[in-house]
Amino acid sequence: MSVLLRATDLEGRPVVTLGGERVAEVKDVVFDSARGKLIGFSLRGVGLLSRSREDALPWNMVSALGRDAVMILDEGAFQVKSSLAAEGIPDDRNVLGNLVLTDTGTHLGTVVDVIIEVGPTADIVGYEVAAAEALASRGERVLIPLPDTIAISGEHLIVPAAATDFVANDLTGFGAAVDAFRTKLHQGG
Amino acid sequence: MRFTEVHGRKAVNLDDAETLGKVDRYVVDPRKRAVVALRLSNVKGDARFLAWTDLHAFGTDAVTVSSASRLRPAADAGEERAASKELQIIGKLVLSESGTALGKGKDVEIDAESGSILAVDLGEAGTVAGDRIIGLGSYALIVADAPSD
Repeated sequence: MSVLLRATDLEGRPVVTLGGERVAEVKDVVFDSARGKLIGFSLRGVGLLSRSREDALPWNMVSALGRDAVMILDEGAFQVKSSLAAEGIPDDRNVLGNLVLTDTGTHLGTVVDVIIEVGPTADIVGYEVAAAEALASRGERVLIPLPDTIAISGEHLIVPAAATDFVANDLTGFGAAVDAFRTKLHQGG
Repeated sequence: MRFTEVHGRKAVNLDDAETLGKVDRYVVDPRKRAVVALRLSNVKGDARFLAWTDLHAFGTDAVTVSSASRLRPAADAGEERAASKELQIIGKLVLSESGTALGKGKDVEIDAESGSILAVDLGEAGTVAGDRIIGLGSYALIVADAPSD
């Protein structure tokens, strides 16, 4: 079973061992944006002296990403941040605030969140954007599906123009929209 | 037998019929899914632990032991911590291994002979069978997902 969630919802989620200890909190979600993959989490400590931590949690060491906690076996799951690169290319650029352009040159809006599909892997399946007028009422929050891989520059994300036929307003039904969009792309249509 | 029924009960020495103290804390071994020791209150000195295997009976009105010499200090720092407030199941968040909060521990049902945990009572959120226990830490009691989850 897979579920869709917003990346910003994961910020602050406790990281808990199977021994029942809360050992960190999610600071940020780390993506390989070009390949559309979640590759891990940067961390902050817990308690009064909660500071950013130098280590990180790679996705392949997460035993479960739950509604109330990110579950790990033990603190051996943490690795130095640079080793996240084994999972993909960590994208230090913040995609939030990037402009979404279609390949036909239409400005669709500004990225305000990243939609992740979590199952055995965690993939970026869409972006939530504050819409430009070409897409919806200006400023309205709209979900845009993504193809498997995209071009990203730190300024722009390029999506196929057909993505605009598969937008959604909430996460319910967005999974189906993503599937339909990707099927259409693979058919070359 | 439930934790809340036994809490505050007297521990009585069968040798001289003296009260040794009152049942205050439960030392749970999450791997054994059982209570392995009790810590008493109202005891003079540091020797306030009773190993489960040293109990004569875990009765409905009192816990009995065959001799006051059964009372001992904490075996190690691990046992001291296990008896501390932060590792008591009552009041503890119960989290499934897939990261969903199921509720908070309200009571614990144990087998009076073996000390095995039969079930953790989450009040209105239902009960969790003792054999689902995976780990117990200061943040949460971790339990296996129910087969139906």
